[in-house]
Amino acid sequence: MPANNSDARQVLREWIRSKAPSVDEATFTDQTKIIEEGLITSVDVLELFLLIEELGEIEIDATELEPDMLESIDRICQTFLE
Amino acid sequence: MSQKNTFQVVARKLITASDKKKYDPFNRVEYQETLNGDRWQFPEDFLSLRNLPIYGDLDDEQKWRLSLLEAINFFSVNIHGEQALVAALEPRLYRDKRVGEDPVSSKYIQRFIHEENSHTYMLAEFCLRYHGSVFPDRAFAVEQPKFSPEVEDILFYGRTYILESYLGFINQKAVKDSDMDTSAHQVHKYHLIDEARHKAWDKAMIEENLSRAKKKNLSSELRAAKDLMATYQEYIYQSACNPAVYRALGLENGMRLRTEVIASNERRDLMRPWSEGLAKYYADIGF
Ligand SMILES: [Fe+2]
Ligand SMILES: [Fe+2]
Repeated sequence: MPANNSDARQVLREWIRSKAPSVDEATFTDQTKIIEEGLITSVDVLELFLLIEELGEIEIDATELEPDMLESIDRICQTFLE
Repeated sequence: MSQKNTFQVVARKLITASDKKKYDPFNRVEYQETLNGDRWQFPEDFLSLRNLPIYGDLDDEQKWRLSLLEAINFFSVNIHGEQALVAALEPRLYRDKRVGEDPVSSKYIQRFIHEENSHTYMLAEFCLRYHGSVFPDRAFAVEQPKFSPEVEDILFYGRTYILESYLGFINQKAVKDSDMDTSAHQVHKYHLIDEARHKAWDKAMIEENLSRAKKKNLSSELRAAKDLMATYQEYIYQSACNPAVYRALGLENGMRLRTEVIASNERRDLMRPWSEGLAKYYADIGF
């Protein structure tokens, strides 16, 4: 069963923290631009796709994506998990 | 011999070599009616879960299914990588603006494109016959920096060389593995033969562009390109561990299994000849 939206958000937040342990908790929100601000790098993007696939029980084809779809937790949830 | 001649001489040699290997691009592999349940579809040593404790818990049928799914995953990474390669080679024909766009090089690139097209056909045919589909593409560039033409081509041929060395490394292991099933073995064998020529062209292009980039003092661009190549190498390395494969086998926690495989020293050691080969090449050419 796909994770519900608030669980999915929690998993994504934890995952981003694991990639950027020094993230500033005071400013880190679901609107934070995770790639632009360097919290995740392009090496992490494959893992992010696979994580979203697992959370949403969906299959992602990277050729159909626009870069801004991965911009923030909000955008990821809107694009893939709602 | 001038630098200009060097890659054109390579192009002429590769054209001759390529023309000697004539084959029907769409009927090269004899696809089995049914796969043999007691033969591997992917070399057992290279199954991603091979070195995890969970591998010991799988029964023979699950191990065989893992080998089929990992073959589909590997071939899918091949297909998407080579489709992108064909798309990027096409605009490099006959422009004569950059290195390797003169008529001789373009004639070789046309053969290169033709061969890659036949590869993706051969690989996709395997996936479609025995799995029903190709896995989706996961390659996604978040950074698209603007480089000088020389460095842009180093990055392009550099990534191609990383991909083709990886394919060559795995193909070679599969060809030597006497427990491989017939069709999968043929796919690896034919791919291995052709990739040797492609890698020679990649190197000629990297080296010519590198010497020009150095003359133009593009060292900060070269460093940035090298970082992007390292990222691509890691992407290729990680692409072999696909949680969708583990889920299809009925295993739970696909993402955790993937993390364990990627963190495993045995896996890094297994792939070391590939990564060390790349590092040695960069050192040899002063990149
Ligand atoms: Fe190929
Ligand atoms: Fe190739």
